[in-house]
Formats: sequence, structure tokens, C-alpha cells
Amino acid sequence: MRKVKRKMIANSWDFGEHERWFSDMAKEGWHLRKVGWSFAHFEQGEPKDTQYRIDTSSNKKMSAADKEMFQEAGWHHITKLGEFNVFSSPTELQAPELHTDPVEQAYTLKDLAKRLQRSTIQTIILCILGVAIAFAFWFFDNTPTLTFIRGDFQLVVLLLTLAFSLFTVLQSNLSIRRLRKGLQEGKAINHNAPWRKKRRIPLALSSVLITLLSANLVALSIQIMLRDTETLPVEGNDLPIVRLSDIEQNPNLVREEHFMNNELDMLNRYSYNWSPIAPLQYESDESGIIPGQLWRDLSGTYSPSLRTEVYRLNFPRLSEKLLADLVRRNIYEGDVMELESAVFDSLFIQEQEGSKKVFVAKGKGVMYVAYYGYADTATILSMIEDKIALIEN
Amino acid sequence: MKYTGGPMTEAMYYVLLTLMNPSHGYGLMQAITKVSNGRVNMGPGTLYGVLARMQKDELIELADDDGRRKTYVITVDGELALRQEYQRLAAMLEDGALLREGDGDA
Repeated sequence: MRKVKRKMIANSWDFGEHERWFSDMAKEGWHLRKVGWSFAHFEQGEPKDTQYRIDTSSNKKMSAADKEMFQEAGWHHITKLGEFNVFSSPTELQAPELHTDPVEQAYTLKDLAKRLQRSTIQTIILCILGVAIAFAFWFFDNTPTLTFIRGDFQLVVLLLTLAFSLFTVLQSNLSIRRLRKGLQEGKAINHNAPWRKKRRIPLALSSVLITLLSANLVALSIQIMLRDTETLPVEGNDLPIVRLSDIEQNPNLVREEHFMNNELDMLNRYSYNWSPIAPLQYESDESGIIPGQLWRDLSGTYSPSLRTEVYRLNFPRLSEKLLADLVRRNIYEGDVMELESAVFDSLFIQEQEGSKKVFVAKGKGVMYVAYYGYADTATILSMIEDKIALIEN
Repeated sequence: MKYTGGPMTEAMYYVLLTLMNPSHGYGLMQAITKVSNGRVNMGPGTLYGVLARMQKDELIELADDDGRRKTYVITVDGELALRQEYQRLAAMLEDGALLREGDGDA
């Protein structure tokens, strides 16, 4: 026997709409067998004119004796979902209406309405929490573009999911209110309520949400597969990152190393990462020592270090925003100068005694270099020019 | 909702009245029709809801439950509430005597 599963009307309080829908399906030969929170299950048979009624029971489980009472009145118990029970009766039987007193029926919905109200409050609290978390993550250091480009967009999905559940729960609340108010005023449920539109909108919304969630899951898996951290090779390489030895240009420079037990040199490492917006991302740290040479303030052996962050953007239009975020995240005090440049699209520099921070954008490439040492800015800029050429197109 | 007096719904009144004699399920539905002289035909959903609610409020109780049939009976509290409601309705009827006289004048 053929069976089909159909997405339920999202709002389980739309009794009249569900009843009419089941009835319409039966007319086409699809008879209701089971309902779940997401799907209704139908089985193919002879087309029949069948009436359906949804009723709530205060007990989780309807006893056999209770079902018997309905049965004797002409209503066959088909299935239940929580406290919702679905009954059917062949139309020609003209069974007495399930509910003959709307005011009494309003009472049967009271507990459920209360519970729904509680869950609405819980959802609202959850949403506030979610928004607060998202804000904390995204705007803590006020660098939302950077966060997004690095691929930390799980929060967007979290927010979307929360918004969707809020929408659903608020809609349910409105629906039960309307239902109970009508019943209390003595208006019986319209068992012939049109259902198509009620089903379409939440269906479209949930498919959008599912698509977004799946896309995010795929992006996350790719990211996990493609990202890693490794020890930097000693000699120069074809990575688009600036190297300390190129800037220092001193044959006496040696590495300052600090290996962890997993054989990763914490002071000389690079990470690569992926995101749909910036499929090429590198971050590197490098530390060196020149034995016998001291810092100018005689605070110890001269030990220059270098940090590079590199992004190749799919959408170069984002580079200005990314650059601004990088400046915001990495400049804690003092001024940063924007300089005219014949080479770069944008160039920001902060020069202090013993340190230089350079931010550049060119084509699709965005680069941030933080250098602690005495090499001059021109050398750093020429190295950056060389490296950004690898990713600017 | 714990019943605290005050006007009953028609369904409550007739179920209590009918349960002065223990009864069950579908038989109860028919008994209500009989007691109300065919005026009230209570649907099974309404009856089920009223029974569940009044059992919770201890106006009625299960006299017998053999799994296939649940037999309900009115409790002492239930009978008291029913009698109070009867008094209330009787008083209302009394107050309406004016209408009968009005008819006479017409």
C-alpha cells in the first residue's frame, strides 16, 4: 500500500485548517494514519468523504474506555500527538458533533495555552541571550567584518534559528488566543478553514532555514578539513607571508624556538584557514635572536619578531572594511597614519620606537604585518609588496 | 480550574444531574439527552472534557474502571454544588415570574 508523508501545517493550533486538510486528502484517497510534529502520514485507499476532528485530552494518554465512548458516538480515534487526538468519522454517518459546547471546549485548551505561554517566555529569554552572545562575539572589539571574513558565521545561523523559533512560538500564541477567545464567545471552530496558505508560508520559511543550516554545515566541514597550524620552514618559501629574515637581512639572525610536545614551534608557526568569503587566509608568527646584539635600551639580547595576517577576498569590495577592522583590533594606543601609496590601494602605518604595524590592501589581498625590531619601514613595505603580489589577483 | 461555586455551564449542570445515577461513556451521553428531555445532545468531546475537568475538581469520581468502561458517580461535594446551582436557577426562575404575569396581561 502506498504511503506519503506531508509537512504539517506549522501551527498545531490551527485545528480547523488541519481538519479540512485531512478531509481534502481523504477525498483524494489519502487517509490519515499518523501525525508528528513535522509530518503527517497518509495511506492510499478508496477516496472517501470523511470528517476529521482534533480534540485535546488533559491526560497524556486517552484510555481505551474513553476511546470507546467516542467510538460509540461514531468517532474513530486515529492517532495522537502529545495531547492532541485526531478522530475521524465517515461523513454519511452524520455522527454528532464532537464538541457541542464551545465554552466547555475553551476549558480543554486552558492548560495547553498556559504551557505554550511558558515556552514562549523561555524562547524570548533564549533569543535575548542569543542576541547578547552574538553581539559580544561580533562587536566586543567592534570588528564584525573581520569575524565574518574569518568564517565565524555560526552566530548568524544561531540568530536565524532563534528568530525562526520566536516567529513560530509567537504565531502559535496568537493562534491559541484567537481560538480560545472565539470559543469563549460561543463560536465553534470552523472545520472548513482554508489551509493551503497557512501551510505554504512556514513551509517556505523552514526550507530557507534548512538550506542555510546545510550550507553552513558544509562550509564548517570544509573549514575544519582545510585549516591547520604548522611550524614555519626555516628557509624562505612561496607562502604569501612576510619573513623575518627578509626584513632583518642579518646573517647572524637565528630562530628563537619554543616547541610544544606536538612538535609545533609556538614561536615560529603559521596557520591556514578557509571561508567562503576569504578562501585563502594565513596567519604567521616568527621570532628571532641576533646573539651579541642588544636592544637599544639594553634590556637584553635583540630579539625581533614578526606577525603577519593575510586574506585573499572573493569580494575585493570588502577590503576597506576588513582593513578598518584589522586596524581597530590591532592598534591599542597611539595614532595610525593613512598614507598615499603608488603601490597599494590603501596603506595604514603606525610607527613607534621598536615597532611597526602596517596594514595594506591591494586588489583581492589584504595584509597586516606587526613587526618588533629596528628594520626600516621601506624594507617592510617592499617585502609586503612582493608577497601581496602572490594573492592580489 | 477548581470549581468555586458560581454559575455552571449547561454541560456541567446536566452531567452532574445525570450522574446522580452512576453511568458511563456513551450511556451517559444518552442519559443526558433523556434527562434534558431531548434538549441537550452532548458531543463526546464536550462530555470527555467536562468529565476530566469535574473529576479534577472532585465534583465527580470514578465508581468503577474495568479498563473497557469507566463508570462515574457524583461526589458529596458535587451534589452540594449541584443543589446550590439548582437553588440559583430556581431563584432566577422565581425572579422571572414577572414575565409570566406580563404574558397574562397581554
